[in-house]
Amino acid sequence: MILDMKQITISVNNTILVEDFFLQIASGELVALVGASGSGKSILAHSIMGIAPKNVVCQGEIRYQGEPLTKEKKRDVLGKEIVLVPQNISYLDPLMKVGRQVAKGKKDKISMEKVTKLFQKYNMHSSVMQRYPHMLSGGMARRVFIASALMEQPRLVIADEPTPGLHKEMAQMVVSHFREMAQMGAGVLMITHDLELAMDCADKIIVLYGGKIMEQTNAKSFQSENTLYHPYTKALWKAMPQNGFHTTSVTHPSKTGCPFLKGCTKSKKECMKNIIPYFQKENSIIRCIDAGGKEICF
Amino acid sequence: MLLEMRDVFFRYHKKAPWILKNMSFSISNTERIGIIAPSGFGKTTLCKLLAGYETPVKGKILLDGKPLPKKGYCPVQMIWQHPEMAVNTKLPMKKVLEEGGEITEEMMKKLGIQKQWLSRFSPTLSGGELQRFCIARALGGNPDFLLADEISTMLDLLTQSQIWHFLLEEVEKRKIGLLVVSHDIRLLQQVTTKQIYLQNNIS
Repeated sequence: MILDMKQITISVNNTILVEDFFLQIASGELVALVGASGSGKSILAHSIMGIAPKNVVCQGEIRYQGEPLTKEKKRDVLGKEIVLVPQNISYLDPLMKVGRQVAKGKKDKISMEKVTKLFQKYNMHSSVMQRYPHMLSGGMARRVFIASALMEQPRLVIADEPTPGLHKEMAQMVVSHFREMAQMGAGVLMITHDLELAMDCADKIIVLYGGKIMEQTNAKSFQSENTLYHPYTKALWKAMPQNGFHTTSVTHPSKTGCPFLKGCTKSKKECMKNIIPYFQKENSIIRCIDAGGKEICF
Repeated sequence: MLLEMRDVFFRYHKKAPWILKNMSFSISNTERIGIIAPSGFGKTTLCKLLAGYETPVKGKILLDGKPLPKKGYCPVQMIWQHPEMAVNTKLPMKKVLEEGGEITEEMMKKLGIQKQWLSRFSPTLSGGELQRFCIARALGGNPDFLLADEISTMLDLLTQSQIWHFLLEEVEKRKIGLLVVSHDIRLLQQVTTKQIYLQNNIS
């Protein structure tokens, strides 16, 4: 197991953003973390990388290749074995040429050759290396990020919303690069709000809503409504244009109990309770008391 | 009401290549039309021309046979792809909404705009939250036509379907013509009655 996270709770100034989160990524696996905006996806990525703002408190257990990911360990592996593919070009230095940023400041021959090769691999002309970040198009910027992630030998890649603003073919191309990284043996965590994209490319999908995991399941389960168990995931499935384009009246997750309390037709008194256990059913882990299956603990 | 584009030629400056060449197109206020085109075709430019943000080099944009008003409220309203670039960052969201005229509480509720967001400034809101304001603002006046340029790419599926259902209801009720630009063919099939596929015709 490359990354193993258990009982993660993230809070800011005593407001809980993410609660009782778990995540396991094996070598060669591509896991998609799907959720609406404001469900706490980016803060999770930033907490793993240790680049979240100082008032963000992350509690719980994070293990990287079997060992706890401590501050000292982070210093050794971040940016080398664990890499973040950020959301937009504001993460690049606007005053440094792109080629040098990908080389991470190194100027020796071997590094420069590697940069040139990576640029070729991702269909970018060598002149792109001499450009500044603002001169890149959206798609080019993504490829620059991917190239810079591959400068080292990443074991774990965390991609934070790698595709918004890109059209479908381009998005699929970007995702295929992550697939390639997984095939090279890395574990990939892709954070996105685009469920359809996740269905196309991921092995495992984790659905997050209101800071809580609703369901973790295989990507294949999304092919039919019957293999999904949580009412929220079912609602997501039905909201797809090809599956009827249904809608619900809920606009915001409820703060106490199950976040999908107001939108669920089967909600009971027990759903109001703050602690809802996880249940395992076939290949899915569901946080719903109505789902059936075996109760599990992490 | 009929919004027409008649034999329009357009390019951004004299040396630039033509973006639209001899383009004609019309939409009535009871129609919902979807446009699908490859990226770089000039879909956004097409919308900008129809809403009066750009003027054609040759040809005409006509609303019921007359040119678009040069001053005051334009009955053709556009909802932009990047909401963060479409609002004044120096204004609280309440003032941003007021730009569009009167917005009822019911409308805010249906769009999922929370009251506490009203005193905030745009950089502190997410793309999805901002887009709801932009939609409310566009509906606030009394538009006859709405141009929606990739308005739901930043939204999750449930919010996307909520916002579209609301928009379709309003458009039907108030007899507003709707032009939707998107890459998502299946979405267009759901929200529009007619789809137009555009191909590059530029040499």
